[in-house]
Amino acid sequence: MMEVILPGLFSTIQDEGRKGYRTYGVPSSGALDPLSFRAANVLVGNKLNEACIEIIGGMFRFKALEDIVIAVTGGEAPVRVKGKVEKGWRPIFVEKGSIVDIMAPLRGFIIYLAVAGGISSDFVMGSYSTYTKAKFGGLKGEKVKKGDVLNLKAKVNAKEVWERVKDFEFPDNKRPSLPSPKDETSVRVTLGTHVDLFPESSIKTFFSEPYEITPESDRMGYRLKGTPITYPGGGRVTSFPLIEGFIQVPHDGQPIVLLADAQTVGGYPVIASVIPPDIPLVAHSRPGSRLRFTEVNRDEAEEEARKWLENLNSIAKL
Amino acid sequence: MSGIKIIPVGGRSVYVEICKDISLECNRKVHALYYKLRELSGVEEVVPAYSSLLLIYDPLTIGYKDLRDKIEDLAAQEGVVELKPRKFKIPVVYGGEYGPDMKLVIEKTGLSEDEVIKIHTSKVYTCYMLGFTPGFVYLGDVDDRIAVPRLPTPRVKIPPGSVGIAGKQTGWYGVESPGGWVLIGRTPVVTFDPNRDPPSFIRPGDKVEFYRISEDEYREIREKSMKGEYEVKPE
Repeated sequence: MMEVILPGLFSTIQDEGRKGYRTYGVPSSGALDPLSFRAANVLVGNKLNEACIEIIGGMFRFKALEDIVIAVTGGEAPVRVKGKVEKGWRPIFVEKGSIVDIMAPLRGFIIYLAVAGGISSDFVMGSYSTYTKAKFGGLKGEKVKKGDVLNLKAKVNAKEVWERVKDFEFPDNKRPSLPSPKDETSVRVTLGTHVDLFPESSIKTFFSEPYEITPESDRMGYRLKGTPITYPGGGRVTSFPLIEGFIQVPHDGQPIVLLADAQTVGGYPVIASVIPPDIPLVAHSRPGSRLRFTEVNRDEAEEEARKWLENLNSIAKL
Repeated sequence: MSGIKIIPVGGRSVYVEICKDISLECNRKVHALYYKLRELSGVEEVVPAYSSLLLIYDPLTIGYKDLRDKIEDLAAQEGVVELKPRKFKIPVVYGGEYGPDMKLVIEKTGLSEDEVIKIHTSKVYTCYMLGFTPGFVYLGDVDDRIAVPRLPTPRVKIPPGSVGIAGKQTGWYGVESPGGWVLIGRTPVVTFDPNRDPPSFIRPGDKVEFYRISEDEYREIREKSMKGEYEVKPE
């Protein structure tokens, strides 16, 4: 169906992730930006949770080995088919033999490429998502590589699909907000599980100083650097469960925002937790850009989570 | 159960701390609550650890305030759910290339290799939890005589099945991963298989006992286990 010519920085097969296996040490994995992921599937007429390619940072090029219908969502990445610029957040018909280029995004950092019919890949513990650290799901647990030939999961007639979806366009007001690469991004958090361990002055530092995303970031977590957040004690607490959004502070005082592939338990205190709508906002912030954390209370956080889930659920009805 | 801490975090998860430290008594309470909370409607996932657990919920189905009341109620009904731990016997080849830190343990403890093995195999351990990587089994408590601390610098790559010690804890790696535990042996049994459901036959709260095997036995069991023809049944 397609041959990968340039695989980008880190591209993997993802869906909405695996649920219910954390007890066995298995993180959920799954799309870092669930809204854009779901939108990509809807735009090509797929089921909502069909496997897509998640491309971190763009620079993905492939050749279509048959007629296909695709959609590119997430960060604002220019798309070229046979050199001609196409729009994101819309279905695109790609003729057999065409070269498709997904460039580096101008805004945002994570891109989803959906193909009508879905991409054939390994279904493990209820999910197609790739977990590269333990090498399972997706393409035998590996990231997408140059020369990979990906196949459709189900045979589809691209021309028929196209007739059905060609007028689909994703409403602007439902798209996730994206950080600007130049400005600081404000990220909403609640206080974390171990906020008691941090002195008042450290909490103040955390909420008043900007933190820059470092290049050592990946799907496990974004490592930040900035004014160290200090706390007494040896830097470890009794290991406890972790999920995406938690912000760990190791003994060097440089926070880590955990993401979908994070380890399921850990022993560094968690100062705060990013609320669900803002987790994709962190994921879309590229290395070198800066985050600033603002506190919301727990009721507000729950209300925002609810609104975010409602918006996500409404995408089924495009 | 009084004195538990219930902290809502991030808008859709609740951290429940039963106590601060690692003890079998506290861990048993965690597991009892874990099995009860899983049944609640609106609860998507419950993750147990040593002395705490995390509950992930769907705020469209249940709100935090209701959830907190339910957690408090269930925590108060201590002993209603009786845990029925199963006991597994896990074969291990000790020392040599399979346990590259055995020399270090001998050095630090002043014991002989046979003594270290005898002490390690003479206890029935409890599975406190699984994680941080898929299928990593945390067991306790290790006899003080061989409770050697973690390596100062973690290894980059540890083969699955590697059995290690970290202070009062022992356990093994389910998948290849980095890690800092002091490695004394390796089990040939495939204990974590992503294509099985559940992927690991050990569950939190289960009992584990190790027994010593030879290299030949290791190879024999390994071959069978890789083909899915070797099963460790609970006693």
